[in-house]
Amino acid sequence: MPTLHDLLAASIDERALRYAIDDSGARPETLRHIRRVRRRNSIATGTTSAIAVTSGFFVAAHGDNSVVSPAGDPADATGEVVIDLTDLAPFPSLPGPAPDAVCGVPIADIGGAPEVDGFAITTGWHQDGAIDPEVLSMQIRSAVTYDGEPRPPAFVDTGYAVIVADGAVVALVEPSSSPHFARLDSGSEWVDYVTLRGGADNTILACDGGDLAAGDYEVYVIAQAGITNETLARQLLAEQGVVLASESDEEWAPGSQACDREARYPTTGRRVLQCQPELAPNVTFDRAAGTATVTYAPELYAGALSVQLVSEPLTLRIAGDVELGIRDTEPGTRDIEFGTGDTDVSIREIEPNGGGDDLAPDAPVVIVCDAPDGRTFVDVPGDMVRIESSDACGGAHVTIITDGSEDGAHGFTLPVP
Amino acid sequence: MAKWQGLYDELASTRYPALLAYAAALTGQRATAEDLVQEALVRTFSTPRRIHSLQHAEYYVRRAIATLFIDDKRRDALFQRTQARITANEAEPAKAVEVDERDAVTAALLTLPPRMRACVVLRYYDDYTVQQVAETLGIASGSVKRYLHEASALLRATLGAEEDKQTVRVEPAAGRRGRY
Repeated sequence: MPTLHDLLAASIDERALRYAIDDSGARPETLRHIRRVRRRNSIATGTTSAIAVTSGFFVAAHGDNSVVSPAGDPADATGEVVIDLTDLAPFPSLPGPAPDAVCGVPIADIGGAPEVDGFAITTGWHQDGAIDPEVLSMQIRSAVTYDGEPRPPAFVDTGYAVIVADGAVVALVEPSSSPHFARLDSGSEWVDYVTLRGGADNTILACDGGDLAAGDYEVYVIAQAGITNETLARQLLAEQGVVLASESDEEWAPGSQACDREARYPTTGRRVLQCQPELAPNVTFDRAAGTATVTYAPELYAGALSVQLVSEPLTLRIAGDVELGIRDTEPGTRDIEFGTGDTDVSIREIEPNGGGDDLAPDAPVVIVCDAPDGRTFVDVPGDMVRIESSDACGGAHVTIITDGSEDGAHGFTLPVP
Repeated sequence: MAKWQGLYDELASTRYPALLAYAAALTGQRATAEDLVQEALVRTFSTPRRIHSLQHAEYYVRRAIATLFIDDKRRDALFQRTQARITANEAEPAKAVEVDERDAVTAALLTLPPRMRACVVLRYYDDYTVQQVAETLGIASGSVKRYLHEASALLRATLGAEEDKQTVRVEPAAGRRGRY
C-alpha cells in the first residue's frame, strides 16, 4: 500500500509530466520583472550610503566621498530633463561597457587610459591575511583620484577587474562596490578593494565558464566616471525616496495593477513615483508620451561627463589551476569498511534540521550506520537524505559519507532522532 | 550573462513544469499556480543570494511557493487576479482553470484548509521535518503537528495510504558548507 509520500509524489510528478507535454514555460515577463527589481534594489542600496539630504548646497569632504545635496527645490529649479519611461536605462548608467560585455575583447580595444581629463587610477596588490593558493584569494587596492576643475557631483565607479591573457580578457572579477555619487573637487579620492577569489565563493568569472588555468596573466582595473542630466535627475529623485519605474512592458499609474502590486509587495525601499506623483512636485508626467519631465537646480549640472579609466596592468602568476565556482560532481559511490579509519574522509559534525547550505546536491551518499549490518546505500535527491528506517541504524549516530568531488569524500555525523 | 540569470534560465527551461505542478498541488488551479510560481521566482532571484546549483535554486523557489501560498492576503490577491484573467480569457477555460478532480490526491488536498495543505505538501512531498515545516511557514511546531495529525488521518482514510516511514532531513550546521 502506498504512503502519503508516494501518493503525493505520483500526483505531482504526473501533473508535471502533463505540463511538460503542454510545453508550459515560465512567462517572459518574469525575467523582466526580476531584472527590474534587481535594478531597483541596486538603486536602493547602492548609493545611499554616501548621500544625505538637507537643503542648501554641496559640501565635498576629501577622502570620504560624502556629499550633501539639495533635494531639488522646485522653486529654484530651472534645469529640466525629459525622461523616456518606455526606454528607461539602468540606473546609474555609466559610460563604459558593462563587465560582461568585455569578455574576449582585446584590452587595447576597450578604450580608456590610466589618466583622463583630471581623473587617474592607480592600483596595487593589497594582501590582507594569508593567501589560500588553491582558491587564489588576493585583493587589489584601486584608487581613483580627481585633480581637475571643481564640478558638481557625478558618479564615480572605482571599477571591476579584468584578467587578461595574450592581450584579451579571459576572466572578470565581480564589482565589489556600487558607484559613488560625489562632488568632484581637486584632490578627491575614492578607494575600493577588488577581491580576486576562486573556489566555491568565487568572485572571478571565467569568460568560457571554466576554471582559471595555471599561467601568467595581467590584471587591469576598469573605472568610470560620468553624469548626464537624466542620471542627475534620477539621483535627486532617489534622494527624495522615490524612483521612476520602467513602462516598457507595464503601465505604472495610480490604481494600476503594477502600482497595486508594488504597494502590497514592495521591491525597493523607495516608492515608485508614477504611483504617488504627489511625492515629487518637480516632476510632471505625460502619460500619452510615456515621459517624465524632471526639474532641478541648474547649478547641480555642468554638462555631461563620460570618462573611462583603465589601470596599468598588474602581474598575476598562478602556480596551479584554480577552480571557479561549484562543479557538478560525477555520480559514483564510495564504500568504506565499517569500523576502519579513512584519512581521506574529513568528519564534521552537523546538526539535523539545522540551517546552513546544502549537503552534496547530486552526490550519491553512503549511509553507514553504527552497526555492521546497518549499512545502506541511498541516492540523494537534491539536498535531501532519506533514512529508510531509524531502526536500521541502531546506534546513536549515523555517518553519512558523500563522494564525487575530485577533492575527495566528505563525511558528516548526526544523531539519530 | 550574470550567474543568477544562467541558473534562472536553466530552472525556467528544465524545471518549470515541476514547479508548476508543485504549486498546483497547493492551489488546485493551474492559472493561480502560474502566478504563484512567477511570484516565487521573482522573490528568489530578485534578491542577491548565493545560489550554488539548480537544485539549490529549486529548493528556494519551492520554499517561496509554500510561504507565499499561506500568506492569506497574497493568496487572496492571487486568486482574485486569476479569476479576473479567467473571466477575461474564456476562450481557453480548460487551460486557465484546472481543478483536476480526476486526481484523487489533488481532490483530497483541496478539502484541507490552505495552511494544513501546505503542511502536508512540505512534510510528505518535500520530506521536511515538523520543525522545518514550522520554520518555513512561520507557524508554531505544535500547530504543524496538529495540522499534520488531522490531515494525515483524513487523507489516509480518503486515499487508503499507509503510515509513512520515518525520515530525517540533514543539513550542515550553520556557517559550514561543503565544497559541492
